[in-house]
Amino acid sequence: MNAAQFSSALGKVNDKYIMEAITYERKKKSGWLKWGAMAACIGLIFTVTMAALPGILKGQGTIVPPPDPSIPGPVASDGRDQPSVEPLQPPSEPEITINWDNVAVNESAGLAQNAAPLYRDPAIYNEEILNTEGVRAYYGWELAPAYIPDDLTGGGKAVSGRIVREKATGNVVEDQAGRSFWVDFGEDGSPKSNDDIVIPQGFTIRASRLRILHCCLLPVDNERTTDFGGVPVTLRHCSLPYGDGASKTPAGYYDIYTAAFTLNGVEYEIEAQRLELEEVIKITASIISPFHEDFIVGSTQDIPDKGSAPAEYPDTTIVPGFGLDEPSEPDTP
Amino acid sequence: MEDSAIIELFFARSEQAIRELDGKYGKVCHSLSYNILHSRQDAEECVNDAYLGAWNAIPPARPDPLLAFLCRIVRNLSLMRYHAGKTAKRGGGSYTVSLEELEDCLASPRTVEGELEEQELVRLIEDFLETLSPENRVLLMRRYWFSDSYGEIAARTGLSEKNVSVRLTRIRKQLRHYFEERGVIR
Repeated sequence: MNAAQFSSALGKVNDKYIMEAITYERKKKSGWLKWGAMAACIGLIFTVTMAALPGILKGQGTIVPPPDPSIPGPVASDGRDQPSVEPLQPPSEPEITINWDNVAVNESAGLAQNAAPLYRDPAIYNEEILNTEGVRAYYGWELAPAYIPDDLTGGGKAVSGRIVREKATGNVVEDQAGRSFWVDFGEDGSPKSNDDIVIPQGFTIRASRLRILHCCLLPVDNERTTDFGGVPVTLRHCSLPYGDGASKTPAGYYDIYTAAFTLNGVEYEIEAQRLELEEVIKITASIISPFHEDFIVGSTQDIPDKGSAPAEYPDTTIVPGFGLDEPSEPDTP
Repeated sequence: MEDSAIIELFFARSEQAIRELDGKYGKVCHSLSYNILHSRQDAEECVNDAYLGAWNAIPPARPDPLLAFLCRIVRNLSLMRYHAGKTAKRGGGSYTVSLEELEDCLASPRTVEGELEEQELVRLIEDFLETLSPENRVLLMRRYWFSDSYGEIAARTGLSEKNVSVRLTRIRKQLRHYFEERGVIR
């Protein structure tokens, strides 16, 4: 068959396909959706602003006179603290003075991968980048769990970590290492999807001895803490939209599960996207107890109520062996 | 004028039927033919020939929907002219480009013995169309039936040209996979 034969055969398809192609009309975005999103954004900005203002203002909310009139920035004052000319009149609109000296703004060119971590002044701190050996020395293993779901590999970017020490004292103030396993990798080592959904399947393990993990602010739809062989593991779930290719409109939703726990003094977080909960449980269990043939994930512990737990969270799951004859990495935490 | 009224004019052998047909669907027909032939003059001749074809077919035919019937005639006549090499500017139109895309998609080092009957191929294509979302189906039809450019499809669907291009690439991959699974190409 060649293209001309295909084109000829296509010309004979049922009239309904021809009429569908002629009468198709572009989707119009729902008005309420647009305005709802806008209202939500305004609400978010308002909430964040109100939460951040006390920290920005000197004296926890008290009025701060500008230190120097020449300093640029919005200048205002709170009318409530000023004597009113007419006491019976409602106070004038509150005015707020912001001293820009107290506002720290990180400049970043776009959203670079390292834009999120706190900036550490190199004059005060030393930064050490850990390679695989460094991670093994610091954490006791290479962050490769005994169980890795089929089709996922640790190719691309290898395990890496970052430790920040205070020069004066030598104290570690920041330590985080991570390792990722994805279904596919691009030429630059970044994770890549292998199907029509742009979000790649895979997971990342992050670890910190200081128990300060910083990565992503994910919404939490559900949260529950479950006993994993004596180790409480907090499982969280959220569902996020993904786009369709170059289109900016959501094409669907994908799951993100996170499992957070502390083991041997190290805080771990597993963040899995487009993986089943069962896989996340198996990964977690294989880290906590890599040499158990059958591992019981058991009863839920008391945790602050953050809404009803989803039905898919199991009360008890027996995770079968992880093929321990050939563990992917010999080291364990 | 409603399609049924136009058809009644055809049945009454009134030449007003052609004028009404041209007034209502002339633009669609010219666009379709021009996309294939890339020549205003050739497209004009093809559309006029299509009107004559409709005049000869109705009666006894009473096509419903009339537009699909007419488009089919326009497309067939345009393709005949295209393949006969009658058009002076052959090679520059959207049809040529879309045909090249399909050639890349359907290229196979081995020929399947015993070519499919065309009717069977039509059935397979219809089955494939059913596997697509309505939007992707429209993309495929607009590109390979109507030979629309990416820009025209983007304007019609509200997608960006880039997105149209990406989606069509995926659809062609799906199509190739679909044909491979069924042994149409190897």
